Amino acid sequence: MAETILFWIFAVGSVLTALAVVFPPIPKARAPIHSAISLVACMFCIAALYAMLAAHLVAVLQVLVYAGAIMVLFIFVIMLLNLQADAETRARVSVAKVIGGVLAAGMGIALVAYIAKPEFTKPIGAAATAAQVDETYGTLKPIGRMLFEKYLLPFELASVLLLVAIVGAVIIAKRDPRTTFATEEERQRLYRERHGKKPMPGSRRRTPATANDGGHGHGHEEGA
Amino acid sequence: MTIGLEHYLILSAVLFSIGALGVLVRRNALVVFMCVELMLNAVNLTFVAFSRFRGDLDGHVMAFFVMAVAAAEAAVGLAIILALFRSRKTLNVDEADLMRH
Repeated sequence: MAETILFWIFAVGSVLTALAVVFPPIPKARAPIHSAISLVACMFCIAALYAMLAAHLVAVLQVLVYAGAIMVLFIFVIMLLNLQADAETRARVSVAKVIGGVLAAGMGIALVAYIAKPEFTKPIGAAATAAQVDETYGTLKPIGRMLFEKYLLPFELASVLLLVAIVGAVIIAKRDPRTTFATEEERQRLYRERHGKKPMPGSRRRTPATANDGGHGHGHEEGA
Repeated sequence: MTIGLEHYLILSAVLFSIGALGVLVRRNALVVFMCVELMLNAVNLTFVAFSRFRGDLDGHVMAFFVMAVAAAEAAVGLAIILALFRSRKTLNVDEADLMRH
């Protein structure tokens, strides 16, 4: 009985917080930080569901890796970009959004209708009741044994994947000194080094330092 | 009323659909990314639920791999978002549709 009540609490909680990720409840501020906080709450609800499914290791990893590492990375990026609600100030309704909403809702209805049919879970066997498991089920030791025996090759490939992702992220996020400059002075210095003459004032790219000023800049927005 | 496998599967289907809805409806690249993470979470819930009701541990290992892929995807994706914001000054996926500077 307690399991039923807990399931409904966390199921409703995860669905509500997931909806809050997509449609933040504060309509004026559609800033990404609201979605990020809602997603952290949703991940905690899902971690609780894992714990109810006796998936102890996965529940801990959900909190550590998803709510801890990945969401902190998201919030770092939000703070680094200093995003206001500018990217999506007005929640405009467009044809693409309507079509997307109808498609997603249709997919959800179709999935739920298909899963709810009793023939779906019958071939799995004893689907109405959970399988009998011993107390080591879902703990670190048996999963570790599986990782290093049955799934050794995928495990090693996952480590290679993570290494490639680290290198790729560093290369992609690195500032390209040929196209973006921290300051206007740096741009002019690099141009002089490369071409041996002063840059033409009219043909320069807008650098991040001046583009952020947006007209009421700091004086080095010299006349073009 | 006992909680069976289909309850967990329906819940994860609903969560997956909400994530897909967010990917299709929201225009902020960061929020689109968060919705992709939500979809991955829903898939993980399916793996773990099947694993529990079958009584084996393969689904847990699969959830572990999904988490590894999600971490790699978040790192690379957020780096792309940083580079995109640096060159375009926007995160709106409608305005960032050109593959050149």
